[in-house]
Amino acid sequence: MTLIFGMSICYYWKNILPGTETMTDESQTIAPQNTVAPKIDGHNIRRLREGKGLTQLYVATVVGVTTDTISRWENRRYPSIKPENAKKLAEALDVTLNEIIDQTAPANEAAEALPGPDAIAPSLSLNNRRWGIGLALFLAAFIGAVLLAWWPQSHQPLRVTATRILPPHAPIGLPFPVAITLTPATAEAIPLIISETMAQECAAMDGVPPFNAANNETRTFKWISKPEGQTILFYMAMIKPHSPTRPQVPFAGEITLHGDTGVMNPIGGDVNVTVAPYHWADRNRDYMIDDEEILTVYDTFGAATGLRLDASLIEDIWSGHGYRWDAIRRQLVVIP
Amino acid sequence: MFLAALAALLCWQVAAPSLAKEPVSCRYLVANGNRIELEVTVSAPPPATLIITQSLPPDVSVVSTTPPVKKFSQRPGEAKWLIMGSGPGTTVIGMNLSKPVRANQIGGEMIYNDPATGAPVRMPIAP
Repeated sequence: MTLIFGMSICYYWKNILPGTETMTDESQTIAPQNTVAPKIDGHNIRRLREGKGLTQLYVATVVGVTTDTISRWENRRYPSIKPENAKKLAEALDVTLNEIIDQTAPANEAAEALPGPDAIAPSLSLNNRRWGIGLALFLAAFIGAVLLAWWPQSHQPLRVTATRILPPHAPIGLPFPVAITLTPATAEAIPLIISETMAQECAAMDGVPPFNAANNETRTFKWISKPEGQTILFYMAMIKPHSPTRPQVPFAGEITLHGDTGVMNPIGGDVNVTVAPYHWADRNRDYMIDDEEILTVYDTFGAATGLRLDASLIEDIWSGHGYRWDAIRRQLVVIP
Repeated sequence: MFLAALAALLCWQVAAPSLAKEPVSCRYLVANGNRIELEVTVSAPPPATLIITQSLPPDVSVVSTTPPVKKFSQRPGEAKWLIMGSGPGTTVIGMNLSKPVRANQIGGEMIYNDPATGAPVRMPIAP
């Protein structure tokens, strides 16, 4: 457990604290003192770029920043921009500088600008902050280790935990995947039974590995497993058409371990899927499946050989121009 | 106390960015003329899926690619490859173009979820 605390600190240190070594291109430059940092009109930049048929990646390449930076500029999250980048941006868009500057906003002094993609505080203060937070985390880890040493044995975690992963939403009639991750706390392989009971408006199918038992009357299905290391069980679920449907469909299930007869522990993790006319992989509900969403699909469910994920539909939406929901036919229509 | 000190030491070692090795790296082998070649190197543990995006000047179209491109937009000029289940090793992605390009006109990006943390990683590829 102490190691877990240590690793948590590692993760925090490496991924959350903005260390200077891992900063992206735009943050490695300290804004020069007394340099005017103009504000850009992000909406106008997006309009100009799209009007000229340029991608964010192309503009980012010409300016010498990342696509994330271009995206932030266009969304006006960090409207200040270094003068030299403003010049390059105007060149990339083939417009004059005045066309991309937000004339309604007063220009900032870069030295006074808040940390952002184009003007950040010197790395010295960042390092001081890292050390301060690092020290606090170290103390927290130490206190955690002491507390764990005194923690009663009865509060030790389960020998195997089960965690359900659901998409945030799904439309009626479109099957969506469900994953249940089994994580043993020890190297011992413990026989167990996983039981899932579907809500009335939901159906389950295509277990991977196949279900060991299924009862259609009680809408319950089970796996018998003996996980050696982390194991993932998958199945497809579907909100049935023509049945009374709640705004959120609940999921419930239990895990029973060998030797714990009569003791059933609930499966943790996600417990609801919201009924909504969006593809289950379209997590931000913008009628598109973007790069990060398709990566999430394959990272979460790609290991399930034999799971009927309808990858071709997902890839068609990703590679096309999105999809729309046909409310009459109650189905998704891909926009090629 | 000893365990806490060990945890802190581990923390320092793992957090040191100079020691961290990216699971995927990508570089241009050819970035001038009518052909572009990208070399993608995947280390262990590999990410489950990888997306490579190649941006092109607006007036340049793609004649052929190896492996076949998964997503291509003529306007804007952008080609994408979805590489799934790739183990450790090296892959070369090649594109034949309708017009010659200069290295300063093209750029690329690779996106994957870090196999250790699950967090999305988006890295530019520069010629």
